[in-house]
Amino acid sequence: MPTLGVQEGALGGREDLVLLKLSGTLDIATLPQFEGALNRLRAADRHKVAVDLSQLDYISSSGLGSFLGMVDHFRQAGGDLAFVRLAERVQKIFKVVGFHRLLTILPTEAEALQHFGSPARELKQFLLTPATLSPHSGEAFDIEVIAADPRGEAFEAFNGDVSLRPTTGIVSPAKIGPFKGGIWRGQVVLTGPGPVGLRAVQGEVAGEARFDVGETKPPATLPVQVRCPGCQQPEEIRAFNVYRCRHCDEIYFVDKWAHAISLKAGQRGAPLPPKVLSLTLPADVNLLAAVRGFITTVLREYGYGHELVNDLELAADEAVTNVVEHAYQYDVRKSLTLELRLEKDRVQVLVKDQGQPYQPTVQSVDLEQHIAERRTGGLGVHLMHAMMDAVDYRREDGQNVLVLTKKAARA
Amino acid sequence: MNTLSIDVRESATDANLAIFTLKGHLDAQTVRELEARFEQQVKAARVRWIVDLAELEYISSAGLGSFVGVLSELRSQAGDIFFIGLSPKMEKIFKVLGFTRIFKVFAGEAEAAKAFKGA
Repeated sequence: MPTLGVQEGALGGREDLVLLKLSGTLDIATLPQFEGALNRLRAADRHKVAVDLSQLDYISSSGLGSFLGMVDHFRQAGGDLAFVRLAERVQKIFKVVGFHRLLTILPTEAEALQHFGSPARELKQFLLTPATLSPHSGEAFDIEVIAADPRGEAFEAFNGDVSLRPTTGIVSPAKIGPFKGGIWRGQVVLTGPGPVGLRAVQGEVAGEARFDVGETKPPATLPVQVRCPGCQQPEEIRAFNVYRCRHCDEIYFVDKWAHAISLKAGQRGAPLPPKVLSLTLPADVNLLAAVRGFITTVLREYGYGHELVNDLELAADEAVTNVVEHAYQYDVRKSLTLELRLEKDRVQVLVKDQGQPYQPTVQSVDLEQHIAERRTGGLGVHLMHAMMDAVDYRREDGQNVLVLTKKAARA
Repeated sequence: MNTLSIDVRESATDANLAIFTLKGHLDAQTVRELEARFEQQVKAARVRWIVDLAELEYISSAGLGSFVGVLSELRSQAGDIFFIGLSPKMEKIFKVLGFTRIFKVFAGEAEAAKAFKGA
């Protein structure tokens, strides 16, 4: 009884290409075996298949019909069913029935490889190249992150957002992007001291760099000259705050060590800016102005109305003041992270710190009692709730996360 | 940018009356300067205060709390705090916290000074 051998392998050693070697007889009896193999490939989303016919002794008309019936499925999925190394006799049959015009018929595997083209590029890993492996705690440093293919080359088509996750402490920004030509270059801040692993993650894809983060560096002396991260024009500043460049409209934050950190590419006509902006800064009431400057500058820049800007400015101030006073108890060596999320129908400010848990639940304020007790505090939480549509608190991975939400259409 | 300017002026007609003019930002940082100025006035037994907020761009609960904290001291000496020059932004915050039930708000300095005289 005639039999069919179907041997499956990788074409040219490439995992994305299939080589099926047929041997023996392909007729009405053995056809299900061949079609079964093809259907399994289709189910596995493997649509680039070369069928080696050099060892095929006999092919019936039903076998030939099956070739025609199957090829469209593969072509529609972006692949092809190509036939290689046809024995002279089979070649003759193909010609007679006109298959050489309908099917891809190639003399050798090498031509099949060429026919299927270069491998599909895919994002496989992130490669992190920091300017230093021992940054100071809280100090921004340059880093290059490459969204790479399996060979480690930049995957140009990548344009997603990538999360940064430290093994300990806080990283700013928590999200990086956009990638240009598969590469993002910018500055990040880690907190320490001690060893910190930094992972860049998007879905299943990740990459890591390890740092030995040093002690916090003493702050720069004001006034100090910085350069706009956009146009490199020098600017003398008198406070660590958020600035808008007079020359190129770039918006940047100057940290305690006089690093100018870009908050957005402020060039007019620039592509849609990122929707999540984050800022890490020391937990110090002297930087409350920077907190407010960050919130108001960004929101105004994005065209939100006065009332929303005022309310979020106040709520963020109250939240940060709370963290400094209650979670950190005025320990200015600690840092906190602000994350500003501009979403379609709301704006959120996230305040993250690693201090003691606190309870920002709203208490009814009895002003008479405050007055009688000569209390100066205790109004902030109430004010925060009154200004926001929602105030949510959660404890997450040893961090306090306070989420302030204000409904708003994205401007 | 994050500065508070505090001007305290004695009234020409009422030795007990001080007019505070606040400009800029009053938050958990800058409130310390203000509280120091409060103390000076209380020590000098000047307990009738008019606080002009017309040029105050920003106030947080830390700033508002300073007025609450000192009020009882002033009232125990027949003093008080009257506010003038509230912008709509300030008015909103005053209302939210119930300040308008505790503090008197006037249109201008003359009206506030007159109210102190009548007291």
